[in-house]
Amino acid sequence: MAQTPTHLTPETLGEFRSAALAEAQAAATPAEVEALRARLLGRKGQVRDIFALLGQAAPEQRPLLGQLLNALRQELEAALVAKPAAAPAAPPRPVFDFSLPGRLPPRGRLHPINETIEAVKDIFKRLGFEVAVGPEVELDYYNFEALNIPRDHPSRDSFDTFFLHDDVLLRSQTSTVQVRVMESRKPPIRVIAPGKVYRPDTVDATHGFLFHQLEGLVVDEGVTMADLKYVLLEFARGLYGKDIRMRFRPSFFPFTEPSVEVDISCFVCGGKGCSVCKKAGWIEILGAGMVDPNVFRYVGYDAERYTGFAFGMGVERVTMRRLNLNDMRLFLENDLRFLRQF
Amino acid sequence: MRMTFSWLRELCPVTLSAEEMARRLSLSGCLIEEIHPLPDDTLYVAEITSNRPDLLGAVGIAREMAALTGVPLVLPAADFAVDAGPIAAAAAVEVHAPELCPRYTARLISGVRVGPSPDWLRRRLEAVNVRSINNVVDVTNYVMFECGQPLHAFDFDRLRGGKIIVRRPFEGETLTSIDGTLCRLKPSMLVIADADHPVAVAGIMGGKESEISDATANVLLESAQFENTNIRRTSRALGLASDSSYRFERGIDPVQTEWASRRAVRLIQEVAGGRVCEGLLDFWACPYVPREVELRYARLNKVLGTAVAPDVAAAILQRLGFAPAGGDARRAVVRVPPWRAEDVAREADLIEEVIRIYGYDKIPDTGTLTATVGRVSAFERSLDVARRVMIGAGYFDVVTSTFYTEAMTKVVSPWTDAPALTFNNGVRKDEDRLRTTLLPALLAVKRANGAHGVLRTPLFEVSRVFLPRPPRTEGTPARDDALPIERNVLAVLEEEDLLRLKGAIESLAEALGLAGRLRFEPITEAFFAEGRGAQILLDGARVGVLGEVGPAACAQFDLTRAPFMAELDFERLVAAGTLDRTYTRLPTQPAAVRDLAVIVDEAVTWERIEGVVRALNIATLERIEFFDVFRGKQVPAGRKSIAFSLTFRAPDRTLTSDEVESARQACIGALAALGGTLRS
Ligand SMILES: [Zn+2]
Repeated sequence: MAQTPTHLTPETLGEFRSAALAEAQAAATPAEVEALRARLLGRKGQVRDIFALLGQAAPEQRPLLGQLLNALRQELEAALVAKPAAAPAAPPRPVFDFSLPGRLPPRGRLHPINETIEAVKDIFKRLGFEVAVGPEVELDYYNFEALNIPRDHPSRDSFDTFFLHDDVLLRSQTSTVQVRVMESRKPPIRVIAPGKVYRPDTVDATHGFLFHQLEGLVVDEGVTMADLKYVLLEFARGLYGKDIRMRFRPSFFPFTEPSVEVDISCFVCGGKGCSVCKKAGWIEILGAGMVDPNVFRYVGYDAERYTGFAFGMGVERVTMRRLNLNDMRLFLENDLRFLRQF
Repeated sequence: MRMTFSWLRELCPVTLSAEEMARRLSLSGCLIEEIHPLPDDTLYVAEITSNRPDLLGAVGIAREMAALTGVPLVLPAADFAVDAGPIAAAAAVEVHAPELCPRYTARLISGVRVGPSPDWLRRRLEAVNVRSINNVVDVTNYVMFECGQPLHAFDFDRLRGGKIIVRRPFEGETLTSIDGTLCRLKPSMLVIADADHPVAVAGIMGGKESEISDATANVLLESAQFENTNIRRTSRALGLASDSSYRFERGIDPVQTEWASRRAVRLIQEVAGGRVCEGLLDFWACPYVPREVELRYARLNKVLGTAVAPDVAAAILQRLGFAPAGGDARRAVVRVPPWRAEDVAREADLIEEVIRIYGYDKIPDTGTLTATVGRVSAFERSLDVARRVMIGAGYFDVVTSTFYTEAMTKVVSPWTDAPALTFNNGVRKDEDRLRTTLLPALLAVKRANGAHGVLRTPLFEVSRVFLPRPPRTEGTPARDDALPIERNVLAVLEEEDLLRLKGAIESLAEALGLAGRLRFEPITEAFFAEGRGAQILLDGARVGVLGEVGPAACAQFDLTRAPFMAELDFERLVAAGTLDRTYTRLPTQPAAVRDLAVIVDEAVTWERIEGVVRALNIATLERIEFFDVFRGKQVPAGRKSIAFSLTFRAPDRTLTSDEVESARQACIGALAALGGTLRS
């Protein structure tokens, strides 16, 4: 029901007008129309009450308000008289068929690779990490040398690389960003760097020439391997569930020492052994380690004062496990029948 | 590398099961990737990281087992009977390139009977996937798998001059290796030669000419150390790799080199008979002097976050063969054993040695990192907003390849006139260009989807393009000048219509704080259909293109209906825009709205209509809103009817209808100057 304003301004009058006209519109039967007429326009009706308020309005507004009130009375009279004496009963509406399919508004999707990157970023952001970026076309220096991988060293075997020319290549790992970040600022550092990397692999279900990695780096005074374990366990539990257990296995990366592969207990079978974990009960999720003092030397950090850790994971592999998918070629095909599934 | 559990247990007689031993090895640095049951034995398949060449032989793995279990390592016998004259009287070794051959040893055995190997030897080799050749060659392979030292046996009578010369090849020299490969040698490489010719590519493969055959009677046994990098380069240059080169390029134990020679001689004598000449020809440029490395116990625990007791750490190092050489309550000083010479040089390396045996599981998982809030860059936040806008408008996010064929690079190039950068793509040879635009990639996605019957493909991608960097005109070139410019662009494809695409871009611009700041200016661009292409300007500079794809590109991508596409410099949009918002007071006065339909010539653009109305500077004109364009009945040919509405409002009062009417008339007057007539 339209409320009589307590004080009169063009705004309060406007509100009353909208409400009263809506009521007049809604009145369907002659009885309803008559009742509303009496309430709004009768001798003790609301419009009359509002006229009474005119005396309290600001003097300079009174002429305008008076004009508006007269106009409103005419509008209401027209609206209430114009009602037909007896509105014909509306024909019953047909039963609505709720089994008809809805009309879908358009909805795109985030690509599963970007979706994974966002999910992983989200967890690390909550742990205080910032996102860092670096070029995809890189200098040999950042991809290898400053990461303690000299030329003609067998450890380069695990990083076959596309070269543009002698010193310029397509980065084969996002670890390049580690060095660029350390060169550009002083500790404390807590960053992740997601991005594309390139390796001359023959494409099959589990290999591609283009894939995505996500690198992490923490450097400060007093950073320990226990901190690494803590951060990775928080991450793994955030992504794979609260009951995950984690273990470190020794490994080798030229830019960390000690280096470890990180396994989590299988999130499908809980460690009993199944097809996802190939009966091992454990799934390798990433590589990590304490930043090698040689890397600190390359960027001019005091390796006695600062310690740090780094980790890196393959985004495709994380995504494949999340989606229970076994062919990474689907990611670059962008078949909409595939993308629509997520 | 394959290895049988029985072989390992011979060297370190543990009582653990093969499975348990494998588990403990894997958790301490020697990854046993697969375990296969054999009759009466178990086969390990180990994945050895490049820093641990000492594990490329059974002795090395057994040494780890000993360190893990405390069961002592038992080295096999390497003694033999000497029953022939001194070797120096019959043979000689000269090393002309000591920088590539730090150690070379040779022994001579005469009167061997070359023939098939005994069963035990053949079976062991077969288990590790090595084909049995003959008893002498089999022994060299056996000892290599036993201790990691590659050996080579020469038919001594085929070595002219009875001489081994370790030298760089002369220009143009060639050698046919045992596997029949003709090697074109270069002076940067290293060969084993006799007095006349090369007889082996050092450390990689022997030559056919001097290989052991059934006719061989006298055997010269080489056990040597070759420089890692040169082996690696030579092996790659010749396309020739072997179990030997694999080990040499990772590094071998130079002290064990001599032991391996004795061990092999003993076994040759055992399986092929023969008389061993007295003595050893041994060139050793600089005998091994163990490096001394210090470990501070406090540092160990500071890096690991553990509380490893000093005596525990010291004991682990000792069990791994690091001999104590001083130290005190606060630190250990140890000598690096020769089999770890390549890998352990610093305190950090010793820390890893301790923790891998002590157990990574004993590191606590309670960190002490301080709480901190990371900064989120404008790019990050804007990317998030842009994706939500585009996905909300129905577009699918895609990820396409950075690599284009030459034909793909020729489709369109909105950002540069320079040709796309090339690289050597050994995998997919014709995809050897780095893209300068995403547009062709989206067309390729559309084509691929069309082949599956998916015809409506609203797509977008935000990714980098690679633009050749113009040469620096002033200042000294920085290191990164060698790199191209990488720019994040946003590309869109859709099938509906050009105005919807433009609307999506305007909606995006609005979300990025650039409402009303983009201008669209027609351009002539072969990629777009004639008269259907535009560039997008922001503050006068090009930040994008959009239009209807032209017939040439449609034909190239097998499209029967032209899609609509746009590409924007996303980084420029982010830099110019803002995600910050402030509140604007809502109006308190009513507005007066007047609709108009005006008939103008086809050449008159909406921009001009809006322009002349705005140029009137009517203070109360709040908004001009376009409705639609109509052509047809009641509109003469060559002209069009444009409908729009004018919203008038004063901030402080209700406008009278006279005021509104006179403003409307002023607008109509201005439109008349464009040749516009009111449509009634
Ligand atoms: Zn499982």
